Amino acid sequence: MLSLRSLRRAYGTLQAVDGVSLQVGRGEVVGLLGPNGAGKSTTVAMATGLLRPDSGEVELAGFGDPINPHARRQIGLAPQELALYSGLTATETLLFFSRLYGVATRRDQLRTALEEVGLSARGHDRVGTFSGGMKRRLNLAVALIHSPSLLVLDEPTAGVDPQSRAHVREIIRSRATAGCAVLVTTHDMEEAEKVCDMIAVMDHGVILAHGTLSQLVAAHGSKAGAASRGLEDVLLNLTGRSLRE
Amino acid sequence: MIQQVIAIATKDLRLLVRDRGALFFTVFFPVVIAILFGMVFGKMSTPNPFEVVVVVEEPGPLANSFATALRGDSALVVESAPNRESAIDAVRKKRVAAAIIFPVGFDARAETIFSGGSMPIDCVGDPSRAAEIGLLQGKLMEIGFRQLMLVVSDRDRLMRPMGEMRNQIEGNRQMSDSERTAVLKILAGVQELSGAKKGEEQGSNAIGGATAAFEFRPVSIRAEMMTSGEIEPPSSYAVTFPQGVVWGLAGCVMAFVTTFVGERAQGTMTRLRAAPISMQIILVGKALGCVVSSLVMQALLLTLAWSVFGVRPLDPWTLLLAMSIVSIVFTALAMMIAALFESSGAAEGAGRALVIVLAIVGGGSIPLVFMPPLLRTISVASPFRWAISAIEGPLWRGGSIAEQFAAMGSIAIVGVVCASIAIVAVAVRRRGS
Repeated sequence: MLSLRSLRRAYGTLQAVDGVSLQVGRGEVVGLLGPNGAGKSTTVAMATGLLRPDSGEVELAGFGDPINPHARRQIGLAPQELALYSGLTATETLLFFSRLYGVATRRDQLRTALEEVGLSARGHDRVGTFSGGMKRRLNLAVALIHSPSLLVLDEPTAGVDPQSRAHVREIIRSRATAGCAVLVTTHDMEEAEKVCDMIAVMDHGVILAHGTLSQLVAAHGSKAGAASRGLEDVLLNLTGRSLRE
Repeated sequence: MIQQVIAIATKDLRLLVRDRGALFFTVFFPVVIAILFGMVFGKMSTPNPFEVVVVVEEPGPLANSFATALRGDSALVVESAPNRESAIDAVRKKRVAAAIIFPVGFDARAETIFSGGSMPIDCVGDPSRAAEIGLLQGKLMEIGFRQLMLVVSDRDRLMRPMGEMRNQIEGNRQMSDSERTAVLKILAGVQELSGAKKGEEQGSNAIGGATAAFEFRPVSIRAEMMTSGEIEPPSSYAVTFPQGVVWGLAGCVMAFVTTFVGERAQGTMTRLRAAPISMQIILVGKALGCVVSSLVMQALLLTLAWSVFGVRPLDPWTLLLAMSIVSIVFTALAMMIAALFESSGAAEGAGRALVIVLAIVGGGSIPLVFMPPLLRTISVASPFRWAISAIEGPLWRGGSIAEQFAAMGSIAIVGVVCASIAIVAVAVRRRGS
């Protein structure tokens, strides 16, 4: 569904992304892992058409480059920041974004969307009154409201309680089961292990390793065998233990 | 495409209405300002300096001397105009507060001042400065008395009416002999006094004493206020409600800047840009919200001015056009501020400071007429000044269509400049990102 080929992007002298290639197929959840400053957000920005690569190609199967509005209609983006208007109600928020995507959303569809993220009882409350977990779920609902073919989630469970986290993961899996391609960036190893079909570990603008959880653990995990902490070991082995800015 | 534009505009308007702070500064604060200033300026005293334009339609010693005396008065800033029309035009354009016209026959009428006549002066004033025009009339009268020196020191001019009066009194059979004798003695005394002073320097005190003896007015002032269609400005609120509009526009501009910069700060701009719409659609949608809010605010204020304070627009359709242009121009100003300042803190801080300074300089708090000349010159750079001009024309000031369109054109130019700066700033930023 999504194909990134040899993407490069620099900010001045800093090479943020340096030749990233990645595929996300229909019904597949691909996790993009890496420390801060690894280039994940820049990769996501190029994948969603928000940023033009210096070189390389982004292609959304059948729709071309997401820099074009026509292709962007197929993408649902949940940014890491809670990109919501605190003065609007949850229902108004969904209605507004569905209109931006040219979707004529009926009242029952809005209700269903709110039910999906567990906010049906708070549809007429202003977002400013929501807890962090509720905002995070609404953030996801906005990405889903126009039934996208590709879901791009940037840290979708950052700073939320276990209940909300579990709920968001269920939604991601159910959407993938329904055929949606999902690209997730996360620092949460447990999330990546539980949700992702494929995982790409990224640092300094390049993808260091790519595969299923078992493939990565086998290739880059700790030699301690049963004592291995799984994906976290893989990440630390690949990216080192030095602190990042 | 239209659906997205309307969606963005509706969203911004909804957020504006729900933001009590923004709503206060956009609607309630301007109303308070307009009413408060209306009450204050309704009782306003004379500002300094007071600019007038003088026309001498028929040059003569008295008219010229009167004009020179006006020029020498420290309370007045006097300029000359070649004719009555250009002088009145200067008042209409608010360049001066009043036109003082010495009409044809001014000098000739001096001969009638001892027989119930007076020298006529036409005074055409700016209605927004009615209180000062009253003071100006007093000033003209004061100078008129001082000018008597010329009349009584010109023996021939004085003797001609004296001789006529003597003839009339001698021929008047209704007067008793004793009355006739008494009056003729007074006239003879005046003639002797005048003859004795011929060729001498006369002190102003002597003239002051002489004039005090006569209870007459040496000049008659025909004062009228410069209005279009002979409609008087209903009240000081006609002046202060456009000022209120200025503050409402400032509120709209800052509300728009806040929502625009807020989109960047809270990440919703990322979400908007990820949607299948171009940046132009986003900008047009947000601009539409600002235009509508500005228009609604102006409509609310001017409707209030009309319904409660009796400020009935002279030309509602031209006023609507002016309001629309003003709304678009201030949207461009808001876009410029939002584009120039990247962070929300800078945009809200520096932007608010810029808007407040422009509003004050443009006549938002103190009307331009009360400002010192330097500040009035600086005000040319403020779009708020042109907004007031554009609105005041069709609201109560009047003037020709060409003049009103010139005011609208001036503010439109300001809008084009603001929009151009905004476009360049956005282009530079996008190139840098």
